[in-house]
Amino acid sequence: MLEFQNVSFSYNGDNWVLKDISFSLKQGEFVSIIGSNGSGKSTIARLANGLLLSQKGDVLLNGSSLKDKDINRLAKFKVGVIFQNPDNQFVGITVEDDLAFGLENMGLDRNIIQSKIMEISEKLGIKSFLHFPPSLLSGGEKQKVALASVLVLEPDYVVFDEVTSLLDPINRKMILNTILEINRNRGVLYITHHPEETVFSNRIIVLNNGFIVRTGTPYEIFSDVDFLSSVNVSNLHEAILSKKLLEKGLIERFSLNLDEIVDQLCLN
Amino acid sequence: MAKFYFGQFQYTQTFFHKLNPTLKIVLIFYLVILLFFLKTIEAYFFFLVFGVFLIILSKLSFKSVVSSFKPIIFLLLFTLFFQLFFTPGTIVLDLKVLKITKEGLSLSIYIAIRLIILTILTFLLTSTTTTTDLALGFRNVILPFKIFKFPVEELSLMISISLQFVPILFEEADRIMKAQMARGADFESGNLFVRARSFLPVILPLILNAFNRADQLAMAMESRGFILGMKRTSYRVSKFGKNEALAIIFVLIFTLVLFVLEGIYA
Ligand SMILES: Nc1ncnc2c1ncn2[C@@H]1O[C@H](COP(=O)(O)OP(=O)(O)OP(=O)(O)O)[C@@H](O)[C@H]1O
Ligand SMILES: [Mg+2]
Repeated sequence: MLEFQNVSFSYNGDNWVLKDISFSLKQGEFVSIIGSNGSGKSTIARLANGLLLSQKGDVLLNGSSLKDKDINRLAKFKVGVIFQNPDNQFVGITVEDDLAFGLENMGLDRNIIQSKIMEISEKLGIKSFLHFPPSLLSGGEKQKVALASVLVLEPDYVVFDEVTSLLDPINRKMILNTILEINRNRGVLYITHHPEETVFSNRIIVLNNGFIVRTGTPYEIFSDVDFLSSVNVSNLHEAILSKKLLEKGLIERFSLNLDEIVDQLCLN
Repeated sequence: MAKFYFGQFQYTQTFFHKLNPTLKIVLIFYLVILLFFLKTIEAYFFFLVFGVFLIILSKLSFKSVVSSFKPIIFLLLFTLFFQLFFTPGTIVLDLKVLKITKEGLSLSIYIAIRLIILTILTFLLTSTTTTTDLALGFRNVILPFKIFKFPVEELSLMISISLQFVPILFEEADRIMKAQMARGADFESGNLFVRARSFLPVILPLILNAFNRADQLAMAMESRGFILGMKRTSYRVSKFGKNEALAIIFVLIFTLVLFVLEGIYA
């Protein structure tokens, strides 16, 4: 289990960016975090595998604090973090070298590294460009490689920090499917500005000004659009539309997906 | 400028293209050093023939060879001019203001041929090796210096990341320039100074951007378990086969012939 226990964090010592944050993530769970720009989402991502350490409270991996040096090192491999812009994550000059990077840091043998690279590239369908420099790939392919570079380390928990924000709808769907696939036996912490991507969540955490202001199921969270607007959550068009149609009895099920709303309307 | 390629790699697969990049770098480096030990003009000419032979062997186009001389043509003429007219010695031609000496003449021929061979050698390396392989090869070349506590891994990582950033920064420069042009910036008119100054609004955001990227990259690296100076394994090993052995033997024979020539004509 990955657990935030009363975590408060400040970058400069007096301005608290996160305040008393508590939540947990089990393997197989999908937890989303939404919130306006600057609410502290990325800071949570950086705390999750010990890139940053909290001044108050603790982040625990299976009960042990990431403030412990050995646990912190372990957390780098057990908790993967994938960031928004794949271009700023590539280390290797070819895709293959980039996949190898984390495994080299683990100190693995090259035969083992090779078999792991083969396995993950087969699974994510990136085998055909293993020998390409990442700069030649499309946006979707780049993000897939960034995903693979972290997943190849076989983490138990993966944090996704706005990984679809630079992608077109088709690639966004593809990446999201891959994430759902790996979610089966891994815990996923999914940070996003897109409500429709959170529909698979077991829980959604709403962040505002460094506080967790609400936690709930996708329906519980998005049906209260007035509250969400009051804490500056954006992209609420579908939620508002869906809520109004539901109130007027025009649809039966609350939905964040426009196509699904239209389908329901057409059925009635 | 969406896709940017480094160097002038030409996509054909010949013996020289397929050669282990580490060995290729070592051999070219060896040939460069060898070049500076030669004394007779005969040996130099033989070396030149050898260089031309390698170019033919690598199926490189004649046009690209010629264009590879463009950057050094000025340097070549400049040194030739000085050597030719300002070397003291026995005068063979007196043009009143300028005097050509025997020593100057032979010295300038030596220098010209050396520069030409040097250019051919570097051209051979960069046009038969991808940037990727160059970086990997370079890493292996400096690997032995590890015993002197030289930060080999860090340096090669730095090189590979820099290569990674070059195309991205070019794309970014392109984007910034277009944005500035849309706001009326002019990069094409005016004298050299004016034009250089008009690039300032491009360079500054580019540098800031690069710092921001570097910061994010450092975080991504640390996030995948990288700790500077910590022991890590290495996935890349270079293959060493029949071709590589052949290349070494080939170069050894060439060296032998060179020394024989030097012996005969010295
Ligand atoms: N390296 C840093 N140093 C100082 N302050 C920072 C740093 N990174 C972020 N902050 C500040 O911390 C606050 C939270 O930032 P964070 O990046 O976690 O927000 P976010 O929710 O991810 O926002 P966004 O949606 O824009 O990605 C912001 O006020 C930001 O200015
Ligand atoms: Mg963020």
